[in-house]
Amino acid sequence: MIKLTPKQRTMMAMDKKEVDRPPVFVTLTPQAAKKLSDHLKVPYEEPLDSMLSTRISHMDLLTKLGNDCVGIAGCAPKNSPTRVLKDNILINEWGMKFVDVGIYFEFHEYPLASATSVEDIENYPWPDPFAEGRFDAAQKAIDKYGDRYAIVADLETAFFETAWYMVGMEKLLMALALEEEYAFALLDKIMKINTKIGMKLIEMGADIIWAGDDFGTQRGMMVSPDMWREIFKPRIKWMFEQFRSVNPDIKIAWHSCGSILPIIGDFAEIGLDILNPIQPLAEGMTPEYLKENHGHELCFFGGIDIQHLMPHGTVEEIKAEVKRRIDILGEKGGYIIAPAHNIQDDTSVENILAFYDAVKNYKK
Amino acid sequence: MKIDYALLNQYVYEGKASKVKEMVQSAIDAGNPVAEILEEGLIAGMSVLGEDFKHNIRYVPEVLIAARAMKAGQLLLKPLLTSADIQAKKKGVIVIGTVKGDLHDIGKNLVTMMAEGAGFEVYDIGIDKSDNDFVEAALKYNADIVGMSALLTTTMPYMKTVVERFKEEKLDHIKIVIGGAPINSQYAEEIKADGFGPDAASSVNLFESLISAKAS
Repeated sequence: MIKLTPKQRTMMAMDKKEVDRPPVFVTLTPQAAKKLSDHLKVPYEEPLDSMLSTRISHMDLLTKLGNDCVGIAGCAPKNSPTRVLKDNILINEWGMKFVDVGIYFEFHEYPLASATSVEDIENYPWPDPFAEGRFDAAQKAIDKYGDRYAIVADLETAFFETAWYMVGMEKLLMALALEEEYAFALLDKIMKINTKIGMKLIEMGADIIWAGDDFGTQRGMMVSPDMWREIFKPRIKWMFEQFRSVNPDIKIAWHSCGSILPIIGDFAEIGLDILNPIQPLAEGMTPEYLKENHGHELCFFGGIDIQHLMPHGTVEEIKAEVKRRIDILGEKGGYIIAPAHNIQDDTSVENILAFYDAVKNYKK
Repeated sequence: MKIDYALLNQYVYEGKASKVKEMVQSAIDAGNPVAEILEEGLIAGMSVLGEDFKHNIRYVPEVLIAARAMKAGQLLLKPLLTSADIQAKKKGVIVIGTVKGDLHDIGKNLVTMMAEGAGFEVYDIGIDKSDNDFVEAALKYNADIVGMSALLTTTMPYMKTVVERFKEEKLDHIKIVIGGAPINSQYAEEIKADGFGPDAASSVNLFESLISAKAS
């Protein structure tokens, strides 16, 4: 067999062609990246300034370890980098304030927490999708890795999540249930900004666009399937159409944590190619069910548990689970194997290396 | 005046705050017992919603607006409750919070709303709380139950620290219940917590059974 490049391996797998082994796309929190960099004695790469930082940072390290994909995204522009205000409080270009708690930047203040009207949304100083410097890091990554690696343009937090980052989660969920107009104006405003960013990343040469918003919880949908179909499905369909207007062959992935069984078929219907992260411990999201019921219409990306297996499992358990997942989800292609979210500091170097080892040495 | 509690229940269930307020006010004006309006008018509606939430018939947004509607009704009743009413309705005292290092609170808030909706006295001490915070609040409010929440696998081990602290302080009479996305009953057993709540409505069932076990 001719040796495949990581890009060929990824794109063949996403065309449901059999490959030597499934492609890999691991992402890390900065603490996990630091630990691995020290272990491998390579320089630690500082995270990039983006809401999607963990998905696009540490790419030298990750390609060295065996990633087949490289993440890119829109970053904070030159005139509006994320700034430290005081006492570990940061503010980004959207006006969201975060507090640095060591492991993550958590929400501290929602800029539109008191919004009640469409005017409040219209009058807000929104980010310019084409602000200078937005795509510099993405271009650098494409120049460096684009020939050899699959370029995955990240657009998670596409509009629902970014909307609640602006007003607060409970406020947005209530506003949607009460059908308040400002909530829909907010969703549309953000959707248009992020769609433009996604379209630009596709134009620049992304192979896969990885959009997303979390609609699931550990035990089921966060919003009702009816509400999702009424509010979110048409908007996501519109986004997908815009992406395909730039490149009809773009592969589209969607990320939603949690258990989202009732809407997976809807996603396939509106043109989704790849479902991520198929969170293993979320209710009902088993590889057997997903492959059997949706394997004909979707590829899968993710599937390795980070809530228990990666942090607490043994090397043997990780190897066995990697094999089981590839056997089921990778049958006849259609699978990018990855942890179901960023690997965090609670996972040992030994377990991370065991994961890569198991994928690279996979045998049926 | 005969109050249609079934209709009031329905308004709570649907999250119609202004209708709830209106009906509660007319029930008060008509001289219905305050405890009865609370129990049969508000709590009963919320408990149906709780069950439906547990079975994925209703979802988080509907629970949030129902809790808001219920609160609107409760605010009218609160100043009128006599101490006898309060004693009669008090099912138990719960102190609840998200553990240190973790700032996620929607799960905890849902449990708080459901437990209040079921008639518990709940003190929500907030997010990022230390073992000291939990112990102090439990003593201050004379808690029957302490509820702890965590979303992150990296913060969940702190629950063990809090459980051990309660043991050290010899507060074994206070039951400790845990919940959150990465938590399961096996973990609850492992850290010697008294129970695990997989969702908000089940947590309320668990509180009820812990209180009745304690009473017997």
